[in-house]
Amino acid sequence: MSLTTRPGLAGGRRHWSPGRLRRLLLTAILLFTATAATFFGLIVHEHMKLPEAARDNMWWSTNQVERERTKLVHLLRDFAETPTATSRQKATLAYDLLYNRLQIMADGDFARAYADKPEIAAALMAVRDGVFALAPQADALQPDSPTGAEEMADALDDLEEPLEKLLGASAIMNAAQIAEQRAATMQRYVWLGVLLVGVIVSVGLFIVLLVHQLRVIGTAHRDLESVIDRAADGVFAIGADGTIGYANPAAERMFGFAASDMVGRTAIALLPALPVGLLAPGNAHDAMHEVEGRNHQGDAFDIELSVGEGSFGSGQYVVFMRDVSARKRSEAAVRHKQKLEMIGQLAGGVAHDFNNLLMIVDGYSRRALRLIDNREEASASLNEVLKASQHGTGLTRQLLSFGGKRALDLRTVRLSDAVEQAASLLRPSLGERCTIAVETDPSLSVETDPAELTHALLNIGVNARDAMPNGGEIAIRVTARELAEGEVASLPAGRYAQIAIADKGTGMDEVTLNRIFEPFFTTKEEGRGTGLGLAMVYGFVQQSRGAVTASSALGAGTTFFLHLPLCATGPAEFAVVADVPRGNGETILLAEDNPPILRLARSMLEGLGYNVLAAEDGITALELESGHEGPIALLLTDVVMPSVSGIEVAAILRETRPDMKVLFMSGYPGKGDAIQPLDLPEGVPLLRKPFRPEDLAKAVHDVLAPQPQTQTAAA
Amino acid sequence: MTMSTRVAGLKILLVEDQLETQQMIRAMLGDLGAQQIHNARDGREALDLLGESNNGVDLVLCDWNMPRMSGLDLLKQVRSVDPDMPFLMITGRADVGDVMAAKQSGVSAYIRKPFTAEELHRKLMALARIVAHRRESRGAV
Repeated sequence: MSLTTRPGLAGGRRHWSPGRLRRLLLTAILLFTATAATFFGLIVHEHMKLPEAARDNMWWSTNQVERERTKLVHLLRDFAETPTATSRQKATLAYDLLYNRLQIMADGDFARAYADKPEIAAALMAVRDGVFALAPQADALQPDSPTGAEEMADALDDLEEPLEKLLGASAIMNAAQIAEQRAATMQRYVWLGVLLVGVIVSVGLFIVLLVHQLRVIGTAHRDLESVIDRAADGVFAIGADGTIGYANPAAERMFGFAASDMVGRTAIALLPALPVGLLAPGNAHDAMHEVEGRNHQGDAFDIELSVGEGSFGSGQYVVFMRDVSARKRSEAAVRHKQKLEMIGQLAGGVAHDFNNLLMIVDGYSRRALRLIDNREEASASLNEVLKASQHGTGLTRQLLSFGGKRALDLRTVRLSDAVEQAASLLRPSLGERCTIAVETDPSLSVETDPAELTHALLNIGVNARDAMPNGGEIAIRVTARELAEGEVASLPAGRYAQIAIADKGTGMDEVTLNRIFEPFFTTKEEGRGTGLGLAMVYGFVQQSRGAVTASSALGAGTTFFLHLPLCATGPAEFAVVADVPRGNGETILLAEDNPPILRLARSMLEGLGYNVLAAEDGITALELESGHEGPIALLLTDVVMPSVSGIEVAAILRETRPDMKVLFMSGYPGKGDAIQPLDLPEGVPLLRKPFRPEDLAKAVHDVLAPQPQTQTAAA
Repeated sequence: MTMSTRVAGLKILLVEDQLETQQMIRAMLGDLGAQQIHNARDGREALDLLGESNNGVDLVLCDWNMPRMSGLDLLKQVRSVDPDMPFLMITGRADVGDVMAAKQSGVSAYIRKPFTAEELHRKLMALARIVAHRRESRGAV
């Protein structure tokens, strides 16, 4: 591809196209060759001109005069011996030739050349006059009479002496003239040489500059190609006829074709929705256009593009393209989520006010029931009021759940347990024609509310059953997935558990599919569904920092996908840990205000075989204690808690349960430590946080079944 | 001392802006044996009733959502004067973030609407036990 270099990429130099520079270089070489050829031609020309100059000089002319004079003397004597018309004619012609030559010599440049040499000029004039003086005699020669011929010959013989004198002088002058001419020629050679050196240096410099410029452009060109090759955006160079002339690697990835397969095709084949007239002179500009692209599989995808116009070697237009399919999907997911959030807020607000009303109905109904002493008719009526109120309470709870307003009892839950439990609850309601298949991975755990998760799975399972009136299989599959950001709904990147619940039922069209999580939206007949089941699932999964999505097609069934963030570790397991003292169903009242530690300790203790009453603060611990009718073997409480301390809780509970053992836990130093001692009585057992599972197991076991030497340690 | 007599002995400040709800909770409290119940329609009225020395109030039962001054703002004001005053927040918002905000501000306990008389009773009993324990502790000192 040949591309125009741009300021910045070419180091800010003037931008010439490589083609133009190559033409300039060729012109320079031709100019250089022509100059050299002209120079050598001139030298050859000058060299060849020298003999001609010699011919034109005085010595040669004088020599000719002497030859012609001698010849004329012979011809005159021949005529004198044999007077004929022919011999006369030869003699007169020779005389005329001599006459003319002398006239030229006396009147032309020679006379001027000898002007500063009077003796030579006088000798020339004497010869000329001597010859000219014979003109009447030459005219008087008669063909049949030799009269005058001999006299003329004698007169010409007399001219021999001045002629020899003239010949000698001209020979000397001729040598000087030749030397002068040679000097002048050499001078011209020197000047021409200087000129040639100047031209060679200039042209050489020009060529060096051109080569340098070509190298700079070559580097800039490679840099630019490198940039374009590494660009995340696709680039096409498109010719005036709409044919692709170049495609960069990003375009290859975008369309799934090799560049060689795209070059030569029309852009419309890959960009069928390209606005008409965009690839027309003057119409290209920087504005972004959203168009549909078509990849090698024929699938459509969304592209954002801009078109630039110019000369790009293999194209007249350059098109910059960005695949925005993922962004548009993400935007749609965000819009959908926002819509559901808005509905959730609305539902939550309604539920809040509705709750107040229901509480009044419920409270007064219960009070009235007590006051009327359960008289039959009034009781029946009031019980109906209560039932309606409780139904309303259930609805508002689901609405609050959809709006993410319910407090979840978060625990680390092994998904295989939760899914198996949901499946076992679902099986009795499936009837004979429906079956359920579960495929799970026992290594996967998530932090969620197990009861709500089971509820959500039951909700989806019941929907799956109802979607298969003729029976079929509900397949639940749990897998681990590494999700990129935005790959599912608007979840951040990370490791997730995917619970897929698939049926082969009637399926849904796109309109229905888009609304299934909206509260009160139901496709079931009136009275069979509240339209809150999937809304509750949506709210619960959102609150668990996950996402629920569904895919469906009419007649092809539906699959729900629940994605929940995976926990790094599973629920605490003690069954596999050897040499850890275990419980035997004893009840432990656990009070801890830090929720993660509360969940962890509860999980550990349950794993050890204890029954746990978990309280998130001191007040709740007192409530749980007063509501628990059986024995409580141990109070395991954090020392420092807001509002009511663990020490206060222990002191209050000792009044009603004097046999209950107490084990404190704290991250603060105990008594005797240098820093911030806790106000604990001497000898009271204290478990330091953080603790390992075996530390907890041993501390609890030691307090519940003290060895003789540690018996006094228990409260 | 039985639990019911503990509740009966409590001087309770009920802060609730909705008249119907206030009347119903009063009725519930009465059924539980509470004999000294003072009403306030919002946080400012409650602060006026508490005065500088709590005016003998043992426990505050307060709605979260109220005009002028919310339950959370009242809680902060009460805590700035009396860090130990038992404060039971009535909330329709069971949102985790709101509960955490209330805990950080020093709420003693909270009860979610809708609640039954039994649920309210359990909360009051727990708080009454704390009040009684602290009274006894102070008496012992």
